[in-house]
Amino acid sequence: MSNHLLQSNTQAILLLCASFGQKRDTEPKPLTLGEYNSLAGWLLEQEMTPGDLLNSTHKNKLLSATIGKLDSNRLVALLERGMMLSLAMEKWTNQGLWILGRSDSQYPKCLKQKLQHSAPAILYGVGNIELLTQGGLAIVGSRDVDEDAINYTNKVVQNCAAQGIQVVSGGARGIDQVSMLGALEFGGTAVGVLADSLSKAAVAGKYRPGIKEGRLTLISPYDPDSGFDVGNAMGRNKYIYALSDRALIVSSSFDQGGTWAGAIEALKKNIVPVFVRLEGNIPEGNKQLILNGAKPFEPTPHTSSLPTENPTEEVETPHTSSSLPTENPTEEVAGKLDKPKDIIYELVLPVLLEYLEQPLDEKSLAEYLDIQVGQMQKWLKRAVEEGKVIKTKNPVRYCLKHSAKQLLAKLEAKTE
Amino acid sequence: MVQAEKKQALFLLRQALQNPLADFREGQWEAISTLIKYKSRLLVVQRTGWGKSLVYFLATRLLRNQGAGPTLLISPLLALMRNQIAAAELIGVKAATINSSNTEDWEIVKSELLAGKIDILLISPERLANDDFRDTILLPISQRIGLFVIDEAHCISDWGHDFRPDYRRIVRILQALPSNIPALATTATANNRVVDDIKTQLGSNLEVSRGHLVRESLQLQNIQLPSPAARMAWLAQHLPNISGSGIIYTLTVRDAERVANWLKTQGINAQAYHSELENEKRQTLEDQLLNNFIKALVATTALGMGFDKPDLGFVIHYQRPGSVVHYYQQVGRAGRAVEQAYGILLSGNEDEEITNYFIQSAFPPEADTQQVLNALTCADNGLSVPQLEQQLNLARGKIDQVLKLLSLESPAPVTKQGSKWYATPVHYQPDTEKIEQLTSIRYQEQAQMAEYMQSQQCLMAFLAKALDDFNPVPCGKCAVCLGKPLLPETCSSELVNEAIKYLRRSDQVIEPRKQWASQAFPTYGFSGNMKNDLRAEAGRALCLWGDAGWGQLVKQGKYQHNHFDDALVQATFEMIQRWQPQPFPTWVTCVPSLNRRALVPNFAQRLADKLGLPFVPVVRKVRQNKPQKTMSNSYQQAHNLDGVFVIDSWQGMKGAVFLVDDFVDSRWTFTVIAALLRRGGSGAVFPLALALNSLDGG
Repeated sequence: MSNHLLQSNTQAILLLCASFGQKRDTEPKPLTLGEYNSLAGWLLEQEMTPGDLLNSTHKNKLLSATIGKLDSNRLVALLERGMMLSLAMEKWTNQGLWILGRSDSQYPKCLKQKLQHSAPAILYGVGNIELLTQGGLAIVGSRDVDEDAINYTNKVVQNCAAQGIQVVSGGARGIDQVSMLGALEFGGTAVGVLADSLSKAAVAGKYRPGIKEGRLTLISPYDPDSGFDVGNAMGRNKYIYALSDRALIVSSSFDQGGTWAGAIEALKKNIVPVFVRLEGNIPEGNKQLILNGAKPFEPTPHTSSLPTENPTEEVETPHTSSSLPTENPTEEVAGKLDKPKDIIYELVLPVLLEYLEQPLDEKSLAEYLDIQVGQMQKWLKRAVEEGKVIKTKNPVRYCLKHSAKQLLAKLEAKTE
Repeated sequence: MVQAEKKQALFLLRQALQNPLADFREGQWEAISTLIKYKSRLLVVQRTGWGKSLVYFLATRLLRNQGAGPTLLISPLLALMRNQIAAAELIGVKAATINSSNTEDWEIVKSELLAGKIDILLISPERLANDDFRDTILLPISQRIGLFVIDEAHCISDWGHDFRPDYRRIVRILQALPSNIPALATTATANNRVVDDIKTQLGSNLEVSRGHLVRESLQLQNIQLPSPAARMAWLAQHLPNISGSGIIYTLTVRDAERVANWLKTQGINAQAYHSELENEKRQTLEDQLLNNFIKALVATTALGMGFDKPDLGFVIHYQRPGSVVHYYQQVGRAGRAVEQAYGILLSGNEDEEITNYFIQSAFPPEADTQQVLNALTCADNGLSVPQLEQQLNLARGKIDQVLKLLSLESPAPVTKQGSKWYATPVHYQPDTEKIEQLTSIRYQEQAQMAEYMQSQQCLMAFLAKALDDFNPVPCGKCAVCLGKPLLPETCSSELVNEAIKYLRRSDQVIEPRKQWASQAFPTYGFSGNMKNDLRAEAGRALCLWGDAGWGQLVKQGKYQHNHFDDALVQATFEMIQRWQPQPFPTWVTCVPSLNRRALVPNFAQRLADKLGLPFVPVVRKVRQNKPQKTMSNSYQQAHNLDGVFVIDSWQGMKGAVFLVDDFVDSRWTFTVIAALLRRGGSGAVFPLALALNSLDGG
């Protein structure tokens, strides 16, 4: 694996936005996400990709352009930082770190879909990239916690591990680490979205074995060598939510601290359904979050192999590890009783949709996925019924419904 | 447009060379043009003196004129050669160097570079390995680099004769470099395999510019002289008859020192040059050779790449190098801007043993690598090198070698953060097959060099062919083409005898240790800096273990006869006369052994008799420990001696004393016993050994 060989698009995004271990106020100042978004908009108008900026003719175009309030000399100066990029890349990637730009195919789609313009332009990470698309339960809470909260968290992560539900958290002291390390201990997988010091965390004894086994992935939108910063810690909360299917707040203070702010943000922006612990020693913040739209969390899942105390409420609990992007997340909060075949269908659907960006017949599609043609027909039929896919005749082909395709294109356009 | 640029470049070239009639050599303008116009990735393979540096100076000037940032040049050279700097300055290209010997200038260079006052910055490949340097100096100044140049690019090829691990990092940096920055790699020596390997590593869009290698004024001759004394005598006799100044290459640092000192005793102005000298000293020596102030530098390969003296009169090899490419690279320094220059290869009996040692120690054994990796994997928060020494019975040098090679793997299973090493979460599988392949290539190269030694065809053509030069023709001026020696193959037996005597006077100083190994002596309670009144004095060893002088006789005494010959007693006595330690000892004692109870005391007794001093064996060994030679690093060697010896007292104790042993390696035995003697009331302690182990003397 050659992590240091980046796509030219990713190179350009890094040149524009990364600080490469320097202070962010060093001249030329790297673009903020907002500034980058306005440049991305201009690129789209010009029918250019970020990588085109590395080409000298296109560079001249940049010099004569007016892009929002951006100073084009600053952009040119940023793009001249190629040597800096390659030195930093060599250092980071040689420790096993990887870098994803928003244009990379492996960049987690859920971030773009759920956060749109707030999806970070760059992600630094270490570990199994595939975990980023597996959704899961976000578990967050304050740094200082009591035994109740710790026991509770351990119970939840043990259940998650047993059911193959991934844990997503922030790697901070307290609930974050308890949940991530717990998930690993019980044999599950975990994703940590760090606010600082990714290079240090990557070699810490507590994380190293999990990363090596492919069960733990750490990512950060911030420079791998950057130290702690309150703003960054707040800023990364939404990524924890966006990478998950549902979120559980174990403990939050009221109207202060990162956990509270993050939960309120997630509720306001409807990033994912938010649940709160209402057991044991309940902090004031937890109760207040209920008033703000969060739901009580029932830690015991409905799976028959595990005892349940209150089966009637099972519909409210998170119970799949599906990372289905839903256009309307609130629908899930309302809850619907999924039969296994529905679960499977929903898991398969995004894969089908991705293939069907190009028109295909059912036989080739079945071959691609190594599935019986009969089964494929059933799924396609349902997708057609749901209006997600259209079927053409002579020859018979399936493809994304035009509107769906446009929607995807629009989403892409917004983020690039 | 192109014509205008070329015209301007030609103008600059003539300015740089101070020659209004100068013109580009074949390929020079093309190289410059492709860099500035197409931001290409280019490999230039041309012999030393062709003008590779002019390519990057002119390209730098032209790019700077277009508003580009300065050039970053990675080179193993200590500094640009003075004539190169002068040429650069003539076209307004200001060069600066950052290396380990000018730390006080770093901040100034940094700010000047950021202010645009420096046009080309030279740094060594090893600097890139230093994280602190990368973070605090290199990264900040790299925000506006306009051209990336890698000198001595053959070091990139791990198939090459001169692979340097640090170049692995440079390859990755070059691979990661965005296409809007042009890059140039240059070398004077690369055969097809090396060029292909560089291409594979740097990508198929690498363009290659390659020229002829043959040196027209260089005359080659090979002479077989088995014994070191004969070769030293040959040098002393014939060097004065060769005109001009030159270089004598040896395979080891010790040989460089020894040959240089021998030539000095023979009234020849020669100086040793090797990696153990300070950078400043090395630059002074280079200057002295450049200006013909000395007859010869006796050098290891440390005097190598990029050294550019157009009027070098000769290159003589005291021993046979490990490969033809090595040899060509070194001998090719001679005969560039002079009518006639000699390339003489002397070859002796020890050559193969030395090159074998280099080949065998190039890679650490897999078990060592595994031990280091295991220790780091078990550590939660990393380990420093001293901590690794405490946990592992591996030599410091071995630990460093393992860590260095591992940290250069891609991706690396270990990484250094601050002063500690950490295991990374990377899956690592050592490529043993590749190591075997490389080792076998090294042996093939060694065999080819032996073949060259015996060659019955034109020697220059042999070298050119081995380097894949196209269409080599007989040179007509080497010893084979001429059918007679250029220089006599013999030397006077008187000089040979003198050289033998010189070799037998190769006393070695045993420097005293000044610091206790941390946490190694809980029983004796030794720690921290050694107090003056516990330290040993500087001692002496008669010879190097297994060496050409007395070394063989010591070896026989220890392992065959279990008795040291009287000749060694006499030689040691003579050494003491030369040495005259002050205050002169009044008694003799020795290091005890439980395995060979008589060997050393017997020798010490005879030496004491000869000196007319009493021999009093006051040091007793009270505990059997593991053999000291199985202890591999300083901590283990020191710790193995804790509580092992006690000192008996006697009335004459307070005088100075000779402390005798047969063999000295880590010096810990001498150090510990000296401290115990001093603590027991003795006077100054002078360590005295028959042989000094020198295997790590490279």
